[in-house]
Amino acid sequence: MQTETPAPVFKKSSLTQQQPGAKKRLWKSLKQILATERLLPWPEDAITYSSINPPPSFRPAKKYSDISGLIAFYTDPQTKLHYHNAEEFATVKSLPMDLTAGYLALRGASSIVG
Amino acid sequence: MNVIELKDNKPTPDIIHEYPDTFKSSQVPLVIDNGSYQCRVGWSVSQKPLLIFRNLIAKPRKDRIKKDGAEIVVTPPIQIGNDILNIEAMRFQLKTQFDKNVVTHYQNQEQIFDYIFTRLGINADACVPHPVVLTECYVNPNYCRQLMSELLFECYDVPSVCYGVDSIYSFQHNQIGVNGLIISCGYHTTHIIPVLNNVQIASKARRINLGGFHMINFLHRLLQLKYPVHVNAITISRIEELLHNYCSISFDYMADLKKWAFLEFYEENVKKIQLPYNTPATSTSTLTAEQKIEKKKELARRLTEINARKREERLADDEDQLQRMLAIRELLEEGEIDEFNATLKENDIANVEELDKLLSNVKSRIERTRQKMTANESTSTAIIEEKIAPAPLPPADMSVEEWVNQIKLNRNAIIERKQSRRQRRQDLAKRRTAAAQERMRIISQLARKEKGSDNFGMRDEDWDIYKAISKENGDSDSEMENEKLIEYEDILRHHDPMFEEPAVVVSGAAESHQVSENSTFFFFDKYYLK
Repeated sequence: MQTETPAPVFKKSSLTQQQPGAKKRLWKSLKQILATERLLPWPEDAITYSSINPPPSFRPAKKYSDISGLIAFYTDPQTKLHYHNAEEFATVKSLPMDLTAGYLALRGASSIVG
Repeated sequence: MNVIELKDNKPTPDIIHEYPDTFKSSQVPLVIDNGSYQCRVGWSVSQKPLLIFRNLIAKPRKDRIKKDGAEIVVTPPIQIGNDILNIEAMRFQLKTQFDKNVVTHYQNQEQIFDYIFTRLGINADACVPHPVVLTECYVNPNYCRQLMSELLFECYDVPSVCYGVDSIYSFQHNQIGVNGLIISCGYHTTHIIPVLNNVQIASKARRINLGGFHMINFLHRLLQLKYPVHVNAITISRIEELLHNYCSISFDYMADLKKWAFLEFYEENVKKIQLPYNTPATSTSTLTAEQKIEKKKELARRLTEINARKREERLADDEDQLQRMLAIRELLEEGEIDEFNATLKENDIANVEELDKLLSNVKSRIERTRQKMTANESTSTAIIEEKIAPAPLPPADMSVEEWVNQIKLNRNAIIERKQSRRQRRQDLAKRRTAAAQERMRIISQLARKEKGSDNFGMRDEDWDIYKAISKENGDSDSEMENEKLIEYEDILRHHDPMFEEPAVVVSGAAESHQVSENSTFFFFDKYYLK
């Protein structure tokens, strides 16, 4: 039985990347890798990681209540929260500002510009 | 409606498995399903994987232990996968080799491989003598595959590697047929891959950058917003448990939503989740709000009584003293000087002048106490008079009910106005609220105006902007409103039997808050994704 040791026997210790005291290697992030990949001369119909991204949707986004997730018929003009019925509107009215901001951020609608 | 208990399962650390010699000699292939959520590893000859663990590395912070004055830095061992017993405690020290669904950090991947091969018991010298089947993401960038191959061949000296996509393997293995559409829901991404005649159509495949990771985070945040009291009890691991065990995929989302809008359907299908809790020790306050108020009144009454009694005692004492002094004074007037001097000495009084001074002091003190006592009596009678003052009458052209309703509406309007003002003040005090951001936007717009074309102040309305951005008192609670409010409440007290005193309302709210804090259930409506 093999016990866990810092250097397992099955490894070639000379080629390990985690040598003690070695300079930390910086790994490229996925974004950087994709940017480099795009720079290569690809044929017209090449399939790459970036090319299988979905195109943006042409349909308008559906509106769901921020409170219950039901279909939202209304929007509160003050807080911009979506809600389903009068009962939920009472809840919306009673929410403190940080919670409404949280709901908006969760929906991705908290940008001042948008 | 059933209550669900959270299990909070802890992982059990993986044992080091036996490494049969036959495997070593016959080079049995090793299958590693390297997913961004879980890693599953097994021999190709067995039905089930030997290892299933979260693809995570936890590197605990260095502990500094002071011993005999010298500081010793202790590096706790790195924990991987199922070794991490309390994942919530380590949440911020977790590392992974993945960026989205692609392996980018090969040093972490190396640690994971070390973990895998060690737990499988591999003990060959300076090599892993097994072909490796390794899954990777769909359309893995060449750069990443190159680094992975480099790691496997050079560091572990594997004889050969086969890369594949997990969802296509699954399509093959489960014998769906020759044609089909693969929808692979992953942890970071969802892939949609069409297959025709057992050949995938890569040009038509698409990846949606949305997966379990996003669902878990969404649900986590949503529940935290819904139950702000339980923010700390709602952890990522618990959300994972909920998502994996109790969530389902709707086949007709809109129709299901319509069903959930009905209360009966909701009552039947809602799932209650029981958060762990400690039964509170003996409840400290069993009194209701009214009882509390009664108790307070009783205390106040007793206090005034005690004060009155003390005052009376003091008055009696003073009067006693006055009598004695007057008696001494009389001795002097009657000409019995010897006796007078003796009594003066007895009472520690130096001479006649001091005696006179003392006399006047005591007299004025008695006067003051008498005045206070009569004043108290008159105020209490005044209160009673106020209470029995004639009820305010409605104007001539209105019935009492109409009038009361009108008053009620007015009162509510004032209260609402007050509340919204208070809310606005609070919002402006905090940053990052919509109101504060709107204010900052107006200020920055004001500042941005070109120097030459500045015609601010030409119109009177321009100045209103300062009301809008004023932090303190865009408009404050006016004195008139307060007076009106008092007047309305007075009227309502007389004419509306349902009217509750504002103070009672407030304490009632506090009560309900207590209840909700003690409540240990929390409801889980449904899970939805935009």
